[in-house]
Amino acid sequence: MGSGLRAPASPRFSLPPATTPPPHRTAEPARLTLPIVPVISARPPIPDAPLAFEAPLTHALRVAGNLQAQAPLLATQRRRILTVGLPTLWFLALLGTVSAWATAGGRRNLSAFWRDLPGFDPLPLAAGLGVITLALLAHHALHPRLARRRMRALMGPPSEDGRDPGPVPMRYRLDGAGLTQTAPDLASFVPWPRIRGLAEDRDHLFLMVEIGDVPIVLPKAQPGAEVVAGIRRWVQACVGRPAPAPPPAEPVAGPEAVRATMRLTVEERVPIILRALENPLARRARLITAAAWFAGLSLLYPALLAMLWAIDPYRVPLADTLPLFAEMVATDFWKPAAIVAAVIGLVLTVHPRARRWFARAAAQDLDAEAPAGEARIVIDGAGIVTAQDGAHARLGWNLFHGYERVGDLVILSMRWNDVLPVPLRIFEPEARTRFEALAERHLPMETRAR
Amino acid sequence: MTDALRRGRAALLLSCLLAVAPARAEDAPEAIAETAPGAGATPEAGDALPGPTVLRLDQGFVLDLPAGWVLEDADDEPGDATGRRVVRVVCQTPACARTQETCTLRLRTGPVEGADDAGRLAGLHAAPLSRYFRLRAVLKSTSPGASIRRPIGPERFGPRDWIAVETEAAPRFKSGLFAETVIGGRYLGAICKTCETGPVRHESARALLASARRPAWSAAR
Repeated sequence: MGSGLRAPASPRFSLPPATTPPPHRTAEPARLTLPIVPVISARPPIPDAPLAFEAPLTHALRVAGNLQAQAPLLATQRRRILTVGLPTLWFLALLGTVSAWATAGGRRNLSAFWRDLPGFDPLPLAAGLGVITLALLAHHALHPRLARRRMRALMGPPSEDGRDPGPVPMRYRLDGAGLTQTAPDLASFVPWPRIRGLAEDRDHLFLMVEIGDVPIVLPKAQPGAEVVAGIRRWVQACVGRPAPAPPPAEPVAGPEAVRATMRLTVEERVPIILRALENPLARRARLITAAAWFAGLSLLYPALLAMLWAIDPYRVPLADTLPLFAEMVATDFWKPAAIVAAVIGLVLTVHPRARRWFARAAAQDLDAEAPAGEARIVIDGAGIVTAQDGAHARLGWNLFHGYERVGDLVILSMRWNDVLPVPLRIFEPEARTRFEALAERHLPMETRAR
Repeated sequence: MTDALRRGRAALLLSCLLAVAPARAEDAPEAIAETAPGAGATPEAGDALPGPTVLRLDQGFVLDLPAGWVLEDADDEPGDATGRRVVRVVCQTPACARTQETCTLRLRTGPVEGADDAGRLAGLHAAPLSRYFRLRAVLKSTSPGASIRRPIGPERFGPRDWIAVETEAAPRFKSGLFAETVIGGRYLGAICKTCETGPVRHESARALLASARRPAWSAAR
């Protein structure tokens, strides 16, 4: 449900502290009996030359990055389909069978239960358990695809008109200081101490960073195997130790720039999460999901009957069956459809309230996970510079195309619906006026009441 | 709710019914015996055919056997079929030498629930799924590849309403008339089979069913 639900991604490997091979020693007598083995560091040497390459950044890569950020959570979800969902539904099916026996009339007690047990026909129950198992296995198999679809929906339309504006040519440079990314109107730097490590799947490399919610994603195919090996070497050499080279200078802003420091409160994170949950794509995805549940659950019983009819060697000819089937629409099939419609209607009615509650819970989680300390923000005529813990990014005004005001929070939206939230409370009154004037000059305005 | 549950269970039950061969002998399809007309088994014309007999069943059911019809496995008394839940009567007239008509009457031990007989009869196959299973059962009982000749529905035999369905068997199998009624809250089912393939079938079977009654119950009212 929540793109905001970010579980911290742990590094896939931990490196031993760097140690240099000790000089040849003939020290303590206790050690004399042992052969002298030099300790060899597992860490490769820091590469000599910086690694620079270019790779397009696409919407699909952003989706992959968001999924990777939530990978532990999604993996748990997927596992629980089989570890929690399956036993629960099996238990309910068994309970239903026992309750059907218990309400069938006659003497119902434990001894009667044991007496009736040998005569019990296990096939209907077995068929029910089989259907449950198949459905959950299908859900388990489809879970990655469904998660991707949901993530796309939560990320919202890639641009205002809903079309993907296309890939951005992004230049990357790994050196002794950290990772520098450059694209038109964008320059960002992450120092080595803020890079937690490398994760990868079949097609992507993920540089897990402590700044922001989403790892830096690289398609393995684009920069090529040699570059990928180079990235691995750099990461293995430099992650988890002080950067061997000084960081580049932060972008300078003019003296007229608006400067402030900020840290989002839980209250300010809520509208950002709600914005993701309430974007048109997410709404549409919810309606499609509701329609799919409605169709699936209402058609389950007719489909089961049709399937059993089709495989029945003694089936009644179709011409005699169809009128009965049509009659069942009025007598039987509408009941599950009505129940499902009522439940879905209830869920859709309750959802807006639940969303608010959920967004609050997710905001609290995010707040707890966010790095300590405040970020600096500098706004001038060229764009916005943000900096925290040695990482910094310069975002040109051309990157932004939306300004939304939710209460005291300004949400600046970028390409692919990425957002930069700016709480107005951080500015002095005079700075606030200047910030609003700058934003107004460069962005279309939109104010939402909340 | 429990009704829906029960129906769902019935649907699941279908899956286990699929593999089961015809379980009861009287439900099994009957192939036409290879006896030429006039062969030894047939009573010679002019032999004393058994006259009309009153057939007595359990639960006070009484039927008039038409001339030439006899109770199978009869004891000393040709009309006494009490003590049986399934009663088979066979036609032995010369005409039946060709058609080989038989009827199997079946009783249920328990009463049928309902306010009156009309309601009870209507309740036998009120649900479409129940009618489907009825059609499936009668087709299975007729022959492989059988079809429905007359759709399931109410039909009047004599003074009483029945729910009946007729099947058309595949060649070399007997077609059937399957009928059920409720008299005084008690169920009576009949499976009548014939080799006749012409438009007129089950005439004496209909006459037999039309005579079904429960005098003891009627008197008690």
